[in-house]
Amino acid sequence: MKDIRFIQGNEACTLGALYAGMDFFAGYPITPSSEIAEMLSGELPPRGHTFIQMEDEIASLCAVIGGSLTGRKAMTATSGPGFSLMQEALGYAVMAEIPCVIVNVMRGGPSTGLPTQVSQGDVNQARWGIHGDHAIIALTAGSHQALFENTVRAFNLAETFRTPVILLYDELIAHMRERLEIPSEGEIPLVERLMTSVPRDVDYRPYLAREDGRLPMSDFGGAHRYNVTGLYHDMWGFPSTDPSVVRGLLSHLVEKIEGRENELTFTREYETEDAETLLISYGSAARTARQTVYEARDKGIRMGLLELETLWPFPERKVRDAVAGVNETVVVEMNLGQVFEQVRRVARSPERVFLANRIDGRFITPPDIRKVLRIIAGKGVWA
Amino acid sequence: MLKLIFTGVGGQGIITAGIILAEAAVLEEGRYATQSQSYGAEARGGLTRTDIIISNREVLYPKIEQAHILAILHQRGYTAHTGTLRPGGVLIFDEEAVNVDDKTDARRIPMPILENGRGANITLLGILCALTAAVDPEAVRKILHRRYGEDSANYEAFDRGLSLVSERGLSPLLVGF
Repeated sequence: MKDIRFIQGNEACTLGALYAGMDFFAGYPITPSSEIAEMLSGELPPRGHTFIQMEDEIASLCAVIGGSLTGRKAMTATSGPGFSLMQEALGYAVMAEIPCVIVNVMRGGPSTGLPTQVSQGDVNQARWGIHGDHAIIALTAGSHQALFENTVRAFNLAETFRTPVILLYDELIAHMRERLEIPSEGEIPLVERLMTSVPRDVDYRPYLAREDGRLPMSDFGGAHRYNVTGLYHDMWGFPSTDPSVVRGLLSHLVEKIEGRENELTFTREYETEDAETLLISYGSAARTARQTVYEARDKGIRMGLLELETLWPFPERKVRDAVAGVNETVVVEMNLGQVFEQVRRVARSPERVFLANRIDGRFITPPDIRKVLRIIAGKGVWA
Repeated sequence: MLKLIFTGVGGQGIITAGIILAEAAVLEEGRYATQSQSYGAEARGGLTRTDIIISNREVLYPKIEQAHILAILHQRGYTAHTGTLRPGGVLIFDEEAVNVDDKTDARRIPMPILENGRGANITLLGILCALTAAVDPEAVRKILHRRYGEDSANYEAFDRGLSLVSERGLSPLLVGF
């Protein structure tokens, strides 16, 4: 018997996290992500797991880092204002290689902005909100089914690559209700933490990577004593300014993500095979884009959609290849063109890349996209 | 595809009614649906609206520009949202609380909805089930059972909605799909 639900996106994310084995949540509720904290406050304690409502978002991510170090699958959930506060701890998690998942349900910004309305304005913040050179993984989703799967995937990638993973979706997905079919147990494989085989009382080097680049962990406070720091550090975890250590650590932090584009970039394609016009979109905007594609196909127009589910590392190769075969590309998003700039960067003919966007807190519509297509075709719009 | 908008003020239960209707379509009839709502600073007493789309295939774009059916439980909802009804669409409204002016291009269905008190939102669902093929009444009853158990005034409120349609001599309308 299939387990079908009719629920909000925030509930789909929560169920995905529980499916992935998340057993530690620390957060500070904020619209439009609050339902995640609300639901987990009921779900986690009866299972003997940890739910903490923290005093703010800085503390929330710090608690998550601590929870993860002691062996938990840990997560927090927030929105733009809270995500801004988390940046310091996010940088620490990147530097100290802490597996964890940070959900950012986007609302209009900057600052407290538009608490209850839709936006996709945090794409660049997910990439560059923290200071210093680094790499990051950020996933998104445009349906509840994809959101569930990508929440599980976020935990899997966090454990595989010992890194924080950002799950970035928007208010529309968060609050809308639609059908979700819960995958059966085992249907989506789960990645469990790679633990060190070093016995107690034998030297454990927490930052000594194996040949495959992975770093086995040891629960903090358990069998081994080791140091964790936000400073550049050697394989023991102790601070170092040795140029070779610094260069080695930074290149490791970047390469373990940027060097694995094929493993980390997930996309979906609709009607792209013979497309002359390509839409590129993600999150809730991809729903409008796909609707527009089907309406165009009904009229015999060769249009297709490339939907991005990984935003960072940016799917350069997939985007470059998809853009190369079409007459024009229109990026559909609800911001001033954050993914648009990336597509232009990787396209061989950036002048054939256009932006259809909306920045007023309203959900982008098929006519919004069609207007841009008319302008590209030299037909003008009847304003 | 059937597109419905319910509007009223906070506390009347129209969001819940929208969720129940969509749940009936998805969980009991195996169809697809989306339910979304205007999400503002509205609390009890504020204007509320929910958009429900029921379809036999996946619903992508979840907002409604032109509804097949608009149900209104408060005059403010009429003022704010009448423009979202497609020309000649079905306008169901509370006959006491809502005044519909003569210029509104709609098939009008005035009904004594709010006199059913706290069950008014469920009475509205009964009216919808009897008047349209939105969902099967039995599917809604099953959802009511899941949510409220055996002993609930909601079944009476629902049946009241079903019988109102026949009492008024109305026959089922062909809308949507």
